[in-house]
Amino acid sequence: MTTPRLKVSQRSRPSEELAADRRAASWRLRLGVAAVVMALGYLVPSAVGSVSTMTVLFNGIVLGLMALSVGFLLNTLGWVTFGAAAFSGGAAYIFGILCVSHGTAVLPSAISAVLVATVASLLIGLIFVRSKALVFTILTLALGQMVLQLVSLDSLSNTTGGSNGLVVNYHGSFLGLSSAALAKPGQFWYVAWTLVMLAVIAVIIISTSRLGRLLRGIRENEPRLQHSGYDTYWPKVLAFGFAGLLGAVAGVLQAMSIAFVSTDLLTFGASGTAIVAALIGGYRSPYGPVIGGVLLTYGENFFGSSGNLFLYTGIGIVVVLVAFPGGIADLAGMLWRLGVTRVRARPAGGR
Amino acid sequence: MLSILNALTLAALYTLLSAGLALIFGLRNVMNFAHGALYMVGAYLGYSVGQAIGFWPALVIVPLVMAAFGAVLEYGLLRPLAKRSVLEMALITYGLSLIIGQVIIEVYGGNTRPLNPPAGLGGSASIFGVHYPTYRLLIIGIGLGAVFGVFAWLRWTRTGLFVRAVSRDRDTARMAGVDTRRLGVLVVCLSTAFAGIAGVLAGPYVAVQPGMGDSIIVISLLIIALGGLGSIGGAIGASAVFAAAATFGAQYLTDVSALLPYILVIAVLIVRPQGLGGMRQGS
Amino acid sequence: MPILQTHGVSVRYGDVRALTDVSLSVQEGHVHGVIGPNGAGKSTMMNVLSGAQRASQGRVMFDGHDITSRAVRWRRRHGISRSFQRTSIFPGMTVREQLALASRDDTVQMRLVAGAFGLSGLLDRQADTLAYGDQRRVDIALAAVGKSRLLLLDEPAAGLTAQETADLFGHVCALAREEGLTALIVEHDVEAVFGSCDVVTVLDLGEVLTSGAPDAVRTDPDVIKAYLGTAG
Repeated sequence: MTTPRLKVSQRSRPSEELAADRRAASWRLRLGVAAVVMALGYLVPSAVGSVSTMTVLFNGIVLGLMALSVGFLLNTLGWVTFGAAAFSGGAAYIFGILCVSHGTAVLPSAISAVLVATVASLLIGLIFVRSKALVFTILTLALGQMVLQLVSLDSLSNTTGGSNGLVVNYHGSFLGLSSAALAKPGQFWYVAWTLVMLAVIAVIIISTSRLGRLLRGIRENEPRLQHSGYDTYWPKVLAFGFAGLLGAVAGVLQAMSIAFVSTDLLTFGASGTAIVAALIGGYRSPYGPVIGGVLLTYGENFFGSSGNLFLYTGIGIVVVLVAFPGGIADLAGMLWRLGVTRVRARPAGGR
Repeated sequence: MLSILNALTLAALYTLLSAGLALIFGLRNVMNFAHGALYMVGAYLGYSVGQAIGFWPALVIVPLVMAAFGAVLEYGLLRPLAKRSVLEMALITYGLSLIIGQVIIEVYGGNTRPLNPPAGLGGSASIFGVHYPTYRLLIIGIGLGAVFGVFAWLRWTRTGLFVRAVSRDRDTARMAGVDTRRLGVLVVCLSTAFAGIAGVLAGPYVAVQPGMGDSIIVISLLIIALGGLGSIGGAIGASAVFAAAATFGAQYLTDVSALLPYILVIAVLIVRPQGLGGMRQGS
Repeated sequence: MPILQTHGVSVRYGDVRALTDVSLSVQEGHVHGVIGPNGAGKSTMMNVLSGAQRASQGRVMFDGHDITSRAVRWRRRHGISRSFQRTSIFPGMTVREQLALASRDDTVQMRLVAGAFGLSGLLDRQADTLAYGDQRRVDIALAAVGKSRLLLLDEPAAGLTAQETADLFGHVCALAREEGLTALIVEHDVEAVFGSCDVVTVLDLGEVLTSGAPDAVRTDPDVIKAYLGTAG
């Protein structure tokens, strides 16, 4: 490449470098915030007295993790998956079957379940990501139903428990927690919170990385990206696999805490709930789906008996999609920026 | 023979539902996730009207009421949000389905309501050498009638021609003078009316219960995808395929056959993303 | 030294012959224009050169190597980039972000090309907020950035005003002169092509009518007949 001979202004620092600095600072800031949030989260069990609130929070962040897998695909590739339950429910079932039918201890079962589900999601991704957005959504819908049917098969009901579900009596300890401890949200919280926050941090890192930019480029104009020399296939597969990984972890966490898996984990409604959580909390921020998960779980608890949850959820989705596409996280972000600009506008030194 | 008749009954219901869904997608570019809920509303209304007046009046009244719902849907939701993407509309209609589902439970409670076929259709008739419930023959009859009716309409009437034109290329059709807005309302009302008919018919066949919307919507969406989104002919064909796979699979293969329809959809969509009957290059 | 050569390239769709025995030669560092009436096969030729389409017959040579069967991505990686007839950019990204993506974060290149195409002041604007003419320049900048040796521009002036067209061709010529970039421009705007290009090739009905310096081509009777004949 010949040296450039076009005149470039040497007076001020080139704006690209400034922009790059700003980007690096924002990246560091986001990670810093995440670290703080993560640290604060560990204080929750001490701060929260009641078991029922703890249960809500715990189930909330687990749902939030599943919602994050959905939200991640929505935010980067702009794809909607209606089959998130296939990976979380699927991983939950693999965990249950390993514990029950094979008598494997809880830790190896959990790790194996997550690994198997993630590999499955990568393999399925190899096929699914070739399709365009709309077809992709339908394919995930079919996948979800297929896994549900598979688990419900009579011929497999000895292993899967069929429509009755499977009670998972596992032995051994998980990172120092016995099965009795795992059943207590207050005690299981620390591990679960760590995993959820690691996922949030991973999403932050990916979103600001080269891969994240590629994924957004794919969403904006895939053919153009290819004409710029990029391979668009593997980034999509990786994104899908990553979403599968998040969902799998959520599923296994859930299975461990209640020691039970049923076909409820695999229904279209289960996938739908994850989507709702991602939408309401806001999928443009990695915290959004987690917030959405907690809100939805809280709502379920609050409205559960009267059954009005679905009504408000439905109204919630419609309102959010129509008026606040960014969900609550976006709203919060807007308010924050509003507050920050107000503070900045205040004259310094009381002049 | 029995299996064939069972498959036909199922295909009839699927056709009524998927044709409506395909129409809405083809014309309004909306993947209506609330379609199953509308079917459920039709079933419950059919139940109420049936109890109050009778089955046959219900078969006439309910589609009309559902068509009115369709108008509300079009003017209240689809038109104001016409600029939104397909996936956004899919999610919005999904939210709508949750609302409708809950309203039904509020009004009718959560129990299953078994429904008997109307008087005169309760027994079985002898057809092609087997005894088959007369009521199901009615379903097949109406289903086939609807198929023929839709085909005739699309092929031989002016409006049908417009529908096909807009399905293929909305902008060109509009430039050619087709009133796409009026057509849009018509199609949405037709779609919801069909959902209503399917619901009324389904009552005595599968019983009326709050989960019926959920179970049918996924199948309906997969059917229109298999047939080619927006292709009505494709929807009809795919309904037959699905119904056949479900019925014959259960009969002649082991229970693994339950997976057959889904494997089929996935396989076809991967090889031929536009579905079996679709022409679109993809949105 | 010709950086790009085609030998006897033909493209057929069934009975339709889009290109017949097209042989042309593009010198490195030149701005080479390709004109022709509608249906002349210009877009097909562009596709064959960029790899979006396969020739039924003939060879495409780049820098002495036979690239006839090479895919789009390979060609891009080895220095052949193209812009599109219909503006194809990344609407939700800022100009800076997309140039960074297309150039693989080569900030020197980005600064250069942005400056060359007058985009330096628009770098932080989101692409879909730009005027059409600016978006067009972004489209071409995306092709120019990122270690390009041969720039294939498909009707770059489409939708631009006369002034914008003149500016655009000016930028391209400047890049060719100062960076040694080669540009092959398929264009309808005959005046702009004659005004800026070193060599002009005329296509008609899928065949090369003539090729040479602008003045010679402009006065060639066959060329005049082809244009007047079809406009008639």
